[in-house]
Amino acid sequence: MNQESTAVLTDDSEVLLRQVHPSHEIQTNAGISSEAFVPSEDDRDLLSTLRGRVDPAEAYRRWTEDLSHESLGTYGVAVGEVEGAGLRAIDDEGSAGVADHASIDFTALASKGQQKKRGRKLRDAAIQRGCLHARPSL
Amino acid sequence: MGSDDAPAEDAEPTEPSDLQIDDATSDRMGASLEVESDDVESFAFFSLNGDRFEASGMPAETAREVGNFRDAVLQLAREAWLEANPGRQRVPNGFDEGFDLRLITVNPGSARPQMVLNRPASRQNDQDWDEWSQFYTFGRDRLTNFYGDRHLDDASSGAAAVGNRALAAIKRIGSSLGESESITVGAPGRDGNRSVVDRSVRDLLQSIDELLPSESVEVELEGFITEFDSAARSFRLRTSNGESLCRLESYNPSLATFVRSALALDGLNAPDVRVTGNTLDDNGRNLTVFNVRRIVLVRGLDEKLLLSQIQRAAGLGDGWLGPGSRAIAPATLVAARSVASDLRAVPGLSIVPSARGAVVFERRLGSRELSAAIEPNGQLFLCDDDTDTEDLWEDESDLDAARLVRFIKDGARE
Repeated sequence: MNQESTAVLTDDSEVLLRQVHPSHEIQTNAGISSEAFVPSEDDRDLLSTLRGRVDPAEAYRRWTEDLSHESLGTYGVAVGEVEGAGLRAIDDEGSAGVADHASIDFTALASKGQQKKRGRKLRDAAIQRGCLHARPSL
Repeated sequence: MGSDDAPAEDAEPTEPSDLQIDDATSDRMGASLEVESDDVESFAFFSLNGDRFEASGMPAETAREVGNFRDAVLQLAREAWLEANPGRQRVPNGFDEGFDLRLITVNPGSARPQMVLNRPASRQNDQDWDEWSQFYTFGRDRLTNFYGDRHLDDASSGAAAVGNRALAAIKRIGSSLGESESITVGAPGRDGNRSVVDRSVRDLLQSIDELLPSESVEVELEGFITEFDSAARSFRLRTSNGESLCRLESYNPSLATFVRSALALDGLNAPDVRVTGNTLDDNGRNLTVFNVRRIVLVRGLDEKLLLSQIQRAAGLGDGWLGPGSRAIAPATLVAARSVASDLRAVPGLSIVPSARGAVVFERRLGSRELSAAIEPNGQLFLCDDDTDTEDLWEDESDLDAARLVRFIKDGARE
């Protein structure tokens, strides 16, 4: 990661936008697995989101149309909730090469269990807020 | 009814010299068929018997019995031709179409439809027509004789007397009749040989499929049941290759009960079962299976739902959740499937993919969120996250399916 092109986000009220894959829809835990909020090592332990200035519907469109990915819909996690989970949010538009990109940084966590726990906290916050833009009905 | 439209391998006319036709039949096949009504050469005697046939005409709903009769005679004629022509696989072109049976009137009394054999304007020469006419007539007489005591003493001799297609056609005769109604079939004329198809005969025929047939092969099909017809004792089984029609063996009410219990009420969600029966055409898809004698549960609905979640994960390729996400490796999927059956009864269990290529079993147990991941490197990762106390326990070890099951079922950490 190019540290020079990142900045820690400090506006606790900014809601970062995360797309949830349909395979993470489950029967319990209000319908979404915490895996939807856990990054992979290949993502350098950075959970991909878009900045809160992007409309949730536009975020969905970019993910599903521009990038041809699947999504249940756009969910949101506030920067303050990220910090409350012991994580930090960074603006990495430059290093990611994606407009309006932000990441939730899991790199400081020592174990997979810790990542899972923080992912669960982000999931709970997102569900508490509710889906910001749902996939259109088929 | 089957019909061979494909060209015959050879076309020279064949004398039915090897065919055993009795004298009475031979006489009737001579110069003309006997006259049953004025100016008409009737092909067969056919009478519907019962109160509802006393009025003039014939009830419309029983008209199909004439078609059933025609189908059965034609199948028997086809069999006879093939018997008389060893080495031939098909009847000649035009043989089926040549059996142009016409219904011209219904005589009063019992409903007695008058049928004549019309010679089509084309398709066959005189030599063919003369030959085929004899086989059609022989089919009629074989049908009449089939109903005689010799063949219906017991079901096995009945099954052996005719081929499977013919037997299926014969069994349809009388299917529209009531309990006390019957059909009399036979040769035309006062002295013609005749047989009565009454309820007892029909019941006996329905039992024959249990003993069918030397040509059939045993098949086992796996799928789920989408429809059940209790009157016909048949059900539809959706398999990976299509949909098969299955008919239960007679006198086995427990099978019918089982089928009813395993039926997909919504047409989609039902347990998988394995069905054992016989088929005449084992082409692997859309089979007709008869004499179904065994049905066993392969996997219940709970297990199927778990497997469907694994299958959903199996369809994900690299990059499914962005550039750094990985597809699930085949070995990981195999390992996940192997433990699914042991977890089928666990309430609230979900199976999801992780971006790192693991298959994760997740469950909430009280305030604890339990997750057990089969990792792409073959390791087992267990995580117990207490959402009330914030206590976190985690462990990674070689994959141990029994341990995974105990952890998800009971939260056991050992």
